[in-house]
Amino acid sequence: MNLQYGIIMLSYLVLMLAIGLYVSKRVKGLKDYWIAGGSQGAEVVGLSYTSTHVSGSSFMGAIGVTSFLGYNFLPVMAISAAAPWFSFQFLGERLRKVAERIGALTLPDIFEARYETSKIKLLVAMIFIVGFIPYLVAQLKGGATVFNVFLGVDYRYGLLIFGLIVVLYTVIGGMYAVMWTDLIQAIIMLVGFVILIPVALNFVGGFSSLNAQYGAIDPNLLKLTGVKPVMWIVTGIIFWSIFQMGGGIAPIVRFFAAKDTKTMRRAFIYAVCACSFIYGAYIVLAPAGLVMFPDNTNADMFIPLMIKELLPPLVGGILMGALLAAMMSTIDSVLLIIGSAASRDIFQKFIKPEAPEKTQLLVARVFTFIIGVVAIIIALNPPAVILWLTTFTWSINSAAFAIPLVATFWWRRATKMGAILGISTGAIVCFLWYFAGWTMYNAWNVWPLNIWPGVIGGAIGGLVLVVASYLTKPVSKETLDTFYT
Amino acid sequence: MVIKYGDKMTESVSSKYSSSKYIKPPLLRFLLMIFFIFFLAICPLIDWPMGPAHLSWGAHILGWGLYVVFIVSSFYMVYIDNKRDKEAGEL
Repeated sequence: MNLQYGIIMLSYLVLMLAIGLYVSKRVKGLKDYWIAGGSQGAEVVGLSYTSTHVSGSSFMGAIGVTSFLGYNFLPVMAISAAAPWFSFQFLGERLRKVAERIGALTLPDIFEARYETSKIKLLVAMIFIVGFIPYLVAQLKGGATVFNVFLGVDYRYGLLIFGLIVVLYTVIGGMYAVMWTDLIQAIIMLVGFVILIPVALNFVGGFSSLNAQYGAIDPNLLKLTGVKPVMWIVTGIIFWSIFQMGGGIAPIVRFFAAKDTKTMRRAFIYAVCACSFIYGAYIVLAPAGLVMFPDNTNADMFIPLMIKELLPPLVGGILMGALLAAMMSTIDSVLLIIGSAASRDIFQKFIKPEAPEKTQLLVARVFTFIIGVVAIIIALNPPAVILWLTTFTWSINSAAFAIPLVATFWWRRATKMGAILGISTGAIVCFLWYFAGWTMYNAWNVWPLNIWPGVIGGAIGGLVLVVASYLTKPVSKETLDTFYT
Repeated sequence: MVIKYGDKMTESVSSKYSSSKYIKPPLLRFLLMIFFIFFLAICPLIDWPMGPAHLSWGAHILGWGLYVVFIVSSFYMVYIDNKRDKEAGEL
């Protein structure tokens, strides 16, 4: 059993590496490396957005959480499918057009141009680096755990094999490799769910039987007002719909790579359909997981258990590939964001701006490699604090960036000071909300008034952005024309 | 002062778009999207559509119906965007 899984999973990793290396031949300069030449088609943009958005934590953890919380958590899970709805409509077209106009390659480039100051570029780049490294470590840990649990491979060896392959293709192929491997990973995820849903439904006896058995475990699981407080659910829905834009920076970066406006619109359709299908699958798989394995107490294990128990090794191996795909597509994208923040937004901007493009490309690869290796080393024995940080990295990014990003593209009156204070306040309030929860309840996942920290941080940060913008001088008309005409 | 990266590309692109009514704010669409999210957020408050008589089907209607709304509205958004831009000669 282990050998069959091992062969399939290893073949999958080798395939990803081969794709990464093959497309890397197209990398001739910085534009190719950071935004895949700005020439990608709708299928690549839309599906790579999807696979990056559906990270390993949502593929494993979120299904488990939904299993335990029941239909009470269903709206929060379901609304995650609205991610492309908001990201593409609020940011997509505008971001791509503005990036094309000013030749921007990264989000910090956009912030710098919009607010006419390199200070904001530094602030955003620093938040990306500090905020995303724990997230990277957690995803690497998840991948190595899959190797450990299913193949019996020692955690450290699993981490090295899995981690080095992702780092290698990302370093060599840049955004080209990331987007094309993400495309394949999205297809594998979709195929995986197409296989798993009917098998799981058949096993539990169909929808009605599933609901009956699920309710028999605990009648509260069938109620929207069941397990968690109402305010927790309401703010959860708001967080995973609107504020996810800020946390999901990695999927948004794909917008730079779209060929043109028409491509963006078609990519939007691909992303909405794929995300709706994947998050729709959760509605079936989450209750089915608890019905099939009522004794399982580890939220992360429902999907792996289903794969192991319900499917023959060959098909199960493909599903395992889907699990790895969810993690890899997030790791490569996050790695590239941190790499771009360190090399393009800090090194190239503040340390050696006059370096020729060839040198900058080399520096980009070296930085990305170093960050990848550092993340693997930390993941070998991740300190508890890193795992704690991971739990609120996403929220802090959401609180810091969701409203400022929308303001950047939609509100002419937003100013430099407004953006800097809005981003900083959002992040700080979000952290303090977590800290208050820790102080009051001795837990990171219980919060004052049951309001999600990302929502309270984002709301207060947004308010500060508006007030500070009205109190300070707007940016030049020339810049406004570039962004809003 | 406009900060630009790579002058050659910027010049060609900015001259292409300089006089167009290129980006329009579909404000109504955003308001509808936000209204929809808040509408959904209110469901848990009133336990709708999960009345005791249709316990499980309510969840499915909520779940699947949501995705139908996402997908159909997305196609519609793209359709009206393309139509508008074609009429303006921008696509």
